[in-house]
Amino acid sequence: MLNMMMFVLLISVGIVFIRMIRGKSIWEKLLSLNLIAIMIVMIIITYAVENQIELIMDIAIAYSIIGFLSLILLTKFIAGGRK
Amino acid sequence: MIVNILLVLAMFFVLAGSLGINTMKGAIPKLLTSSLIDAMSMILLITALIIKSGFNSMSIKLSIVLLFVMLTNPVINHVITKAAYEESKDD
Repeated sequence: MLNMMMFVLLISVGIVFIRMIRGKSIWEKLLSLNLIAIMIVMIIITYAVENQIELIMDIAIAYSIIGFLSLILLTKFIAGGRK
Repeated sequence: MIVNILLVLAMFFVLAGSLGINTMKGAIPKLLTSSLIDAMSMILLITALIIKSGFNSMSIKLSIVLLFVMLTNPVINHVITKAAYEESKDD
């Protein structure tokens, strides 16, 4: 069941990635980038629980922190440059 | 048994969110369907994984991931939506 969950998440990352490339405005692309970061964190968590490897969980925490910081700084930079 | 039910619900919400991203037009309506993935499916998946793994140090780290994602996702969505609204108001 966890293998099927990872497969569904991988298909969903592909669909959202296509939408990120073909998006109209910059804000839709940033929203899709946020979703891709969240789904990659979900894939890492599922893999760690399935194989009972505890060190991979630290990578998931670090990945969520890096995703948060990059999205906030990128959005502030683009919105400040437009005005 | 209850783990499989929660995982099937999480799969349904992930597929519904990623298909809803393709059908909505504009940045602000897309926020409606993106919250299906980053709030609903994340809570269901982490609850299922905590029940499956039992009470050990892995479930504590899962709780830390859930707490961090629940604290930071509204901030990201608010910043992106406010920037998109300010730009659409100027034009």
